[in-house]
Amino acid sequence: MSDVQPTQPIDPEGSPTMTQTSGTAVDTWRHPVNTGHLVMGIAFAGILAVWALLISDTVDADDLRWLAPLPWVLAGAVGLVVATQVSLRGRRDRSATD
Amino acid sequence: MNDETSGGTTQTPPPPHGEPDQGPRVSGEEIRDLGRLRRTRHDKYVGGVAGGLARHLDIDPVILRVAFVVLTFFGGAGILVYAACWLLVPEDGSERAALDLDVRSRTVALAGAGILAAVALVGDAFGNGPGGWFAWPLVVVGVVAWLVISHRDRRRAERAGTARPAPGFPPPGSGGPATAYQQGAATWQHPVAAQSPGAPTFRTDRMRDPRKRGPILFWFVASLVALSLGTLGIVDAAGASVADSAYPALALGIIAAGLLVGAFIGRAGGLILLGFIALAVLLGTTATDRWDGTSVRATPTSAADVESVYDMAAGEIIVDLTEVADLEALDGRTVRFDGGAGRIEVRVPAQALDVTVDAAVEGGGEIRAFGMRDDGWDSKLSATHDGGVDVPSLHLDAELVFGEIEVVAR
Repeated sequence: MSDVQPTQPIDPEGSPTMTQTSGTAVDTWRHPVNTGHLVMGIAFAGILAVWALLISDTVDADDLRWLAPLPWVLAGAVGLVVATQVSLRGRRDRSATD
Repeated sequence: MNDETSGGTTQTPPPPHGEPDQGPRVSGEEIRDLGRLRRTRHDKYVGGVAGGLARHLDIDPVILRVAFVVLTFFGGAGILVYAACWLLVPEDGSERAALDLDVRSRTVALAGAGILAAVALVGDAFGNGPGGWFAWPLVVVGVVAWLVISHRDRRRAERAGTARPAPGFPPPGSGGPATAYQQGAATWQHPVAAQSPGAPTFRTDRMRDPRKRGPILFWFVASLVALSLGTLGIVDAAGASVADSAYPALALGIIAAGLLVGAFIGRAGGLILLGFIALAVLLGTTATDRWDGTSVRATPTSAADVESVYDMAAGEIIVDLTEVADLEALDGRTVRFDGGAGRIEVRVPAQALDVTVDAAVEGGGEIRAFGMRDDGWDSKLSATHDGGVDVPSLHLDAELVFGEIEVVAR
């Protein structure tokens, strides 16, 4: 569908329509970054990578001591950056609206 | 209390302005009225369950969050209640939950979940294995029963051509568009009363969190996980070498991909919980794959043969000291036993040696020493064996993370 619809009510089916928000056309399948999902996705993917290294004997079990925290550090760092970026962008958008 | 029911929910008018807040702001009757319970949309870390329950009970959500985490370690009671609330309780402004039931059935189901959690808790307390596992099959039976009944009901509704009416809700700025309870107090804002005449009709269930655009990914990812695991199982059965941990690893990979996609496109709610389940299984199976058991068995015949430390990552340590000929040479010595997961058994002579034992199982397990016993989480036990008068003395120090420690005199 190519109809431009008002923000509320949103199409109940959640179909990939276009939604008008503050004069900007936005694809409804996309949404603001969900930091929680992003962080946990990176953490799980990182843990999987560590598991792959371990199971393929690329690293020794003793290396887990420093490898195990890495996915969480990476996920946390990305989460902080994204959360900060989202916050700054939101503030910028609000001040632009005002 | 002047309650009125509309659309399966109960509304309580807020107290008059200016009236001092005296005593609890929710009555026992309001607490028991689980039909008005909603998960919070904004005060949430996972599913908004703790926030919603805290609002329902008018307490600090932090208390409930901590309680959920702590109770999870006692028979899984916390995670059971949380999952039940997540699945059964609708979000703010919605009348439909993931497992959609009418208000009365939902109340019964929530009460049932509470009882099951209590059973799991009691089962754990009385040592029916970690988790009181006899409660969990009942959970599975309940979920399957719900699937069958809801599928049947949906079919009937479709045949009858009926549609579930959706409630109205106030327009933005008239008391919170998607908030069922007023902020700060567990009072109910009548959704229709707040709507001014002539105002456009908005529908709560259609007003979405901006992040909730696009398709729900949970069932897609769950189906993909099931399909992938089945395929891997076929490959495994066909003779390929597949490690046990590959199964949860595959599931975790798909869930991680779902979360990463869902962070930008679609809705990935519920996948974090699924990921933690896969992660727990992955850790367990990897530990089993890598350390399928170390067996340390020793029957020293002299004090010199008795080592100061016996250790293992996972497996079994059995040390028999009953064959030591020169027991007097053990006088004043301490022998340590360290292990991650498994079993430690030490046999000492019943006569001619005094033995003191300090044993600890930091995670969960059981300790038995000279007729004394302790079990559960973080078990500790000190015991003494009297081998007679003027006999040498030996100290045993045993530690495990998970498993069983046994010291016997023979």
